[in-house]
Amino acid sequence: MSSIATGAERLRRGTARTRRGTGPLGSSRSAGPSGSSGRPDPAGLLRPAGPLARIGRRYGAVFLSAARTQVTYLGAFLFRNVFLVVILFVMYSLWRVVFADSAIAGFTLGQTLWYLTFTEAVELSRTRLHIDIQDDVRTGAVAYTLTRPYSYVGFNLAQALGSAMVKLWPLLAIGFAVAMVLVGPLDGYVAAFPLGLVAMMAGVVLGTLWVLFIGLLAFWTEDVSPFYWIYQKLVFVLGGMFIPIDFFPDWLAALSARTPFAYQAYWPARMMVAPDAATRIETAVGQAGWIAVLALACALLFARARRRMHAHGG
Amino acid sequence: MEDYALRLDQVNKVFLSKVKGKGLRASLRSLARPDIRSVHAVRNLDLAVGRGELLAFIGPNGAGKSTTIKLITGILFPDSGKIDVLGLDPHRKRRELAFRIGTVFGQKSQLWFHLPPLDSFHLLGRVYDVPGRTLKERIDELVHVFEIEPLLHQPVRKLSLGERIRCEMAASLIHRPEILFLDEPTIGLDVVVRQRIRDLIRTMNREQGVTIFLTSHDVGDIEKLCRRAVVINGGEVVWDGTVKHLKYSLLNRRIIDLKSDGPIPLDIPGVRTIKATDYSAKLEVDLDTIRLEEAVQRIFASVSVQDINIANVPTEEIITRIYQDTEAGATPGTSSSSSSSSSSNSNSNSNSGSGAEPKGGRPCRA
Repeated sequence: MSSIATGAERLRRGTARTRRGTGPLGSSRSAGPSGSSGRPDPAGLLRPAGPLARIGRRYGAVFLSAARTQVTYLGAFLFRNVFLVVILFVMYSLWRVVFADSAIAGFTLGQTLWYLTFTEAVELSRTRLHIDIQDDVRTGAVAYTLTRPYSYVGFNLAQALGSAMVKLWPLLAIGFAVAMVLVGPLDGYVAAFPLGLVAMMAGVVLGTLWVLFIGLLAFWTEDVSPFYWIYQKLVFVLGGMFIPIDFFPDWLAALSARTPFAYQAYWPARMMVAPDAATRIETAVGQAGWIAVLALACALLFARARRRMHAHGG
Repeated sequence: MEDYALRLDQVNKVFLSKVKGKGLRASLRSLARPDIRSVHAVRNLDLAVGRGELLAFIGPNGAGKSTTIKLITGILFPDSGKIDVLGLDPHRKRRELAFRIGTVFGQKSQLWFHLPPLDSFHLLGRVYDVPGRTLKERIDELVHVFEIEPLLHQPVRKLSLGERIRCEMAASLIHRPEILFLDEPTIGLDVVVRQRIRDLIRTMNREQGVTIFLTSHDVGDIEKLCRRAVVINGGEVVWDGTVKHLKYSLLNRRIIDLKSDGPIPLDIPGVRTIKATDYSAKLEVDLDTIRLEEAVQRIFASVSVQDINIANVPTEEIITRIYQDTEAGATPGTSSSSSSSSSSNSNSNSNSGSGAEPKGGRPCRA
């Protein structure tokens, strides 16, 4: 109780502490990293927010701003998803011949096409964050972000996730419509959807962390396109982007299944088309582990990168 | 104890950069044996800025201005020396410091391009932990001062440059910064809007005591806003003094524009013809050689004068001369060094900053 009262008192004092005069642009501090220090609160009603709440609000606001930006040009936003229709139709035409009336590695034609709608939705919703960071480094614009009281890594991650999460929904909707038309409904879709959606979002987080990591390499190489090219191919192949990794030879399937690329594409899609308890546990544990590893790697990489920051743009 | 907003003491920053020759062979050679060269971006930099000061920090491209600002704001680590900004070590307390400083970069927007300014204000409020009710009041105040009410709900991409800069400045003040770094805030603006922005900058500084660190290539910004100018070149401070002194005393010269009804044949020691036509001339008078009064009398004695205008050397020209002098390795303003040094003590300082008032003007590289 007393700490709250003290915090509120400090907030009140912050209001009165205009350094010179009472003008509207008064330069007395209104905020600070310590949360309550110097923060004006005319009514004295505010409780000092905890550090986690402040961080959540800060990056949450960045996330929401990025999400809103995505739908600025609604027509273009929706139209660019037409590419997914083309992919699904081409792959459906191919697989109709390959599958005939049989199943491969336990997957029917219907399951495989639905699988593709989910992996593609995760893949196509990813942003081009690596290019943004590369441009920031090349032009020196990275410096502007660093005058703000947030982490460069956290800001970019929140911004990219805000964009990606908004892009995910129309892709899922289009995938749903196309798959319904071509192969009909997916058994157990409704029951699998809630957890499957969480897994897909986690897949988006993983993909975003990868492009963030690749983007940060620009501090050393300035051109990250080769790294991105390799990463993309690894997702296509080891991640099971076009076909479930169950189709691979056993040794390759076992290897692929443990890579972060598979937790980005294969496992979330499998959660939707062939859900079972083991898959759910495997997906949750694998995704959480790789997200932690990649997030840590990005933080460490940026800590090193800051030491390398130099004279681009003066 | 003096009240500094920021203070740099013998700060050095060296960048290492890879140099590559022309052609494929040079590229391959640089892979095996890279040619690394060092660039001394900032050299033994001493600088103190008092609280409430409005300082112009100027220099040619590549002089070390941006590097200095990045060092001050904690973006870059100094190789040696000490930096103190509002009592904090910027590169160790970058985020803590970020709550107390603001930035406006004329060429880089902090507003979200596709969103209305109001959304960016709210986002910045979140970023700077400004509580909701306080934020609303603060935004109302800034909207009133910067007269941006009609712009609040338009996407930033639809604003004119002048409108955007007003919104940028409002955005930079959301969290009541104690120091504001303005980098080319009037670039690309027309004269009317430029003047308006200057008025707002002056208001921020004079009425509310925000310390302002202004970087600009626009001499008008410096002349009309700043009391003190620091000129940096080659990573060193080459001039630190009042703008008034920079303008009137450093190059101890006057410019005379002359019109006559006949040719102007002049041979007066200390008077140099800069430009001449049959009936007009632009002359430069060196006051170390000849008194202005005497020069004018001799001109009137030699020529039938129809019109005459006597002016100081334009500040732009003075600054250019400082740049050229330092690049050539000379002491800035050497042509008038005696007057410069003699006037440095007599120059009254009108700086309102409390802690780091320059002692008149002084070329810093002797």
